[in-house]
Amino acid sequence: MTRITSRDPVLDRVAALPSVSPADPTRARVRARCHDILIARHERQTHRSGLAGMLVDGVLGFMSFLYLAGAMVQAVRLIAAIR
Amino acid sequence: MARLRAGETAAFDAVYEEFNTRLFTFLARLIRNRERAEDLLEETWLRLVTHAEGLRSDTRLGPWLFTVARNLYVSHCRSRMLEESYLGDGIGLWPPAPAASPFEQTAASLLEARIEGAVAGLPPIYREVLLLVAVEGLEPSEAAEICGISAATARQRLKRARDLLARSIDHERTTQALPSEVKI
Repeated sequence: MTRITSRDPVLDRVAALPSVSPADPTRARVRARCHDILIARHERQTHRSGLAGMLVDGVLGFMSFLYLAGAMVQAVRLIAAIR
Repeated sequence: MARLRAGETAAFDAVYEEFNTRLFTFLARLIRNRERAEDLLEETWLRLVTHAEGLRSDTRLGPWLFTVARNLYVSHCRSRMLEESYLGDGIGLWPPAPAASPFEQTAASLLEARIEGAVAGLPPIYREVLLLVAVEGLEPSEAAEICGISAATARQRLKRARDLLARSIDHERTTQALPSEVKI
């Protein structure tokens, strides 16, 4: 960021004014509150991704089972037709 | 940004360290009350953590945070305006400035106090642009985006703020010099 104030003495004086910080307990409290929200969200996401993983595994397992069952039925039919 | 969106507390801490004092200074000079500035600052950070997931990867956090802080300040002014109109007080668009800001009370030198007083006395629409450009070092176009105005308007407001400030400082200097001149 370019400071355009360097060309203007009035704005330079404003720029030189001291900054202030919020009280230490407030800083700590706000940071802790934000951390709590971030951690809770992260845990929710992890939990959600765990549930989603189980769901995907279940669907894939079920489809594999259907495929194998279908293959077995076809094999039995073929054998019966040959005999 | 990606780490913040993923919810990493370390990424949040880095942003917090970089912007906390700057945001507080901006809000305190706008609202001229330490407790209210702390409340708005807290709300600004809470907005960041609750919206972090939805932020785009190219979002510039500095302008984003100052926009949120400034909008919260405007909302606060509006709610106060409604409150005060309900109470029957005569009010303008912006809340009246209290007697002395925290900065004026703690200003180290007379000149500093004079400038703080002059800044505090500016109309908020001029003060916000002045603070963003002079203190935060933003370009007028960036300040314009934060304030929701055009770049030309921001430049105009900055010039007006600068002129009012110079006049106010000169006026105070003249009135303070008067007693010693009388003595001579």
